[in-house]
Amino acid sequence: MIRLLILTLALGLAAAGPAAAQERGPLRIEITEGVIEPLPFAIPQFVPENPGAAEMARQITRVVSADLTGTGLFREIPRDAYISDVTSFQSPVQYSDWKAINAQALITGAVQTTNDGRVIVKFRLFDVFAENQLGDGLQFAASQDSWRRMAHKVADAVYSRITGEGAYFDSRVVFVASSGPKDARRTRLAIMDYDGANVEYLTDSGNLVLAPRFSPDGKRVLYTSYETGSPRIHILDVDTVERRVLEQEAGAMSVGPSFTPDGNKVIYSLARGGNSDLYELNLQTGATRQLTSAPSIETSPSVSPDGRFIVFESDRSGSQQLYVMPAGGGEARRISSGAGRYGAPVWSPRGDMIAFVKQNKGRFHIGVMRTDGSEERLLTASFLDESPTWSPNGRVIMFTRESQGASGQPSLYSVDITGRNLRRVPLETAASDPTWSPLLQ
Amino acid sequence: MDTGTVISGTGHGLLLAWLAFGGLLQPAPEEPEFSVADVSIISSEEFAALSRPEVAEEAPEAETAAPEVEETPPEPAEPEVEASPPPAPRPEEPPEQAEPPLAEAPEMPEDVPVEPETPPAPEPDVVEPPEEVAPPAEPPAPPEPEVAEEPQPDAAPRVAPDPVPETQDSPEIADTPAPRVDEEADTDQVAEEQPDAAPEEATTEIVTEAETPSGAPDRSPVPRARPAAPAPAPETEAVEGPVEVAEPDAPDDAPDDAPSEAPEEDQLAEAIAGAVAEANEDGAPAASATPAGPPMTRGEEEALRVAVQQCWNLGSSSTEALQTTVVVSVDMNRDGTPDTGSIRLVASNNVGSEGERIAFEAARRAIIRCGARGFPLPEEKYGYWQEIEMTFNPEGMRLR
Repeated sequence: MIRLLILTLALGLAAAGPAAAQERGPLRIEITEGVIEPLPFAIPQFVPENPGAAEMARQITRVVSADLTGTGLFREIPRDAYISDVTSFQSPVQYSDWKAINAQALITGAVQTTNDGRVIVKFRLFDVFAENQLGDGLQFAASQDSWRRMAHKVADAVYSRITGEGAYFDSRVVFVASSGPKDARRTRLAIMDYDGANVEYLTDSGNLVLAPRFSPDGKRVLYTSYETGSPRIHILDVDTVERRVLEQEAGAMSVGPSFTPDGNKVIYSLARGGNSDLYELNLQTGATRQLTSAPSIETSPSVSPDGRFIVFESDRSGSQQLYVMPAGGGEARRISSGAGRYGAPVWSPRGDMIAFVKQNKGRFHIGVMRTDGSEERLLTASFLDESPTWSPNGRVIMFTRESQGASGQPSLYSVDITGRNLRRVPLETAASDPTWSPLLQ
Repeated sequence: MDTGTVISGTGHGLLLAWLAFGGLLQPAPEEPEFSVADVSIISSEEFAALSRPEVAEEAPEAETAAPEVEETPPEPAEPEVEASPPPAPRPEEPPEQAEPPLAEAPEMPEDVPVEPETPPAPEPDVVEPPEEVAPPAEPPAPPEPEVAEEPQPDAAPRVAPDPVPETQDSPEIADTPAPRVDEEADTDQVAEEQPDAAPEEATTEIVTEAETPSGAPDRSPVPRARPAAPAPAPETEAVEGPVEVAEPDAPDDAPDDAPSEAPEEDQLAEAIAGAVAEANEDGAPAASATPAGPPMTRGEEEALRVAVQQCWNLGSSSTEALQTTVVVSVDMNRDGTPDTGSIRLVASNNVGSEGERIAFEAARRAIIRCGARGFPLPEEKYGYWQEIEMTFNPEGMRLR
């Protein structure tokens, strides 16, 4: 019996031996703590492929670098630290030289101008430490007047490939440009590149204009104007600068318009007899429909990207709070629950967040929260922050910050939704009420 | 005749007078017999009433009254019901004497302020001891946390609530006797409660201590070193043989057949060792290079983890990538540098997404960058780290 038992055990161990060796497997570790710092990248000046393209190559390279650096997610390595240079778009990359300066991404490009006034830009992106190319090389061609847009598109492609986020550099912003003293400002609508370049005015100064909102296709803008003495909603074609007043009830004040995702309807707030409710206007038929009927003040509607819900502000609970209701009207659900007053909600183009203005203890904040009100996070704190608008990719928020005092002027600022990279948009004029367009086509 | 009639009349008159006066004197002793019968009717009330007057008479004052009050706390409701109906004049007197100590209990605090010293002293003393019972229970806890870290402070609060109800009962008792038996009763009660609290803590802590030693035996190399070093090697080797190869059989057979079948077992043990060695050689030629010495220590693994994480940069990752955990496998060279071509994605919680791609690239970048000069890995344990699977979990870094 003992022999049988020992032999059985021996056979078992003989079979288990190799199995145990196989089960040993690789060494396993878990990494949970990393670092948050801008990714260093190198961008040698794009190679001019003809003599007339040198200046444009330099400008395009500068804009691409500024776009990436301006996100706060990237850091450009100074060119005087480069070991090798790129003299030809086709020349192989010396990875060791770029590794030596800790360049984790390398952007190479070339610019060519043609006699018919066009410019051709091509680029490649490399992962230096993996020693491979990230995605395929791309080439853009457009008129030389549009060279900044091509630079933004190159930066968009690099940004998306490295971060995984959607693009947003090739976009525009409509805002209210103002001049004059605080108590007698002259305002007009203006449009610019997202980075403050190429400012153009869309309306004449002299009438108070407020709260512009881009259409989903980026071709039209809704805004409120006091041109007729009382606030009325106007719609403006961005390309032709033609505008018209939307048909509204006489004697009523209409403010805070916002497009629905299909661009066919406008949700706005109509004040009548001291009460303010939300209405829907069909731009094709002119039909209106009342969405709320409460004795409180409902304003600042913003429709979710899927068109199913509307977030708005209301004082039905005694103070300004945020509510979400079905797009067709119905029972509203309060989503803000913190201390202070909430207003100016704007639904993220991703659909996952809502930006808002919060006033608490004498300070104004720009914040974000989930669409159910959870995970509220305040991004800024100032004397006066208001009018948030989302970048096309839902990663950045632009807003108005007004400085304190009689000589205080409004300016445009942007901030990452993580709360980092707060920076002022460089403009020569006072600016407020920004609305960010979708990505240009 | 006249004299006869006078004499007879006088005699009869005396007889009548004797009868009249004598009859009046005798019925008086008979009446108490009827009164005794009346007492038997009242027997239900007598039982309580008679007992009290006896106690009141037997214990006129002080010491005896106090212990009775301590025993009666559950009964006070009954004497109150009996006191409300005044059935007989006799029981009324004793209850008045018996009730005062119970009824005076609420009155005493009112009188107590008049006598500032005695009343305030007993009440705070009685209230505090239960609270003080917890603190003495805590001091024994701190020395024990030294043995086992945090679970013991958790055990202390568990111990505290148990003695609390006991102490809560005691203060109720103390309220009534407080005026008379102040210090003695209090000190006795406190002294009794404290030892009750201490043993309860000890029991809960013993449980935690029992849990901690279970984790200790993880370090087995220490006992291995002892048998190898000393001179009595043959004994230790003989012990190691059965332990490693046939632990379950050795203890069963050793006491019975150890002297007689020892040579046969040696042969079988050799055969078993040979079979196991053959199995290992045949089954895992590659694995023979892996397990050479002792396994990687936690410190060595921690050093590797720190070396990788300092190059794991999520600053340019999308919000989706920050919600993606990836498991990356890499083959290592003997000099501690990674074979960059072998880095591959093993698994993720966001399969096929852009976030997965970004998360994997960030992980690969971290391995290559910080591994360029070689990770701090012990070369003699190359068999254990020639292949490494790293899980990059950004859960704690999303909001940074």
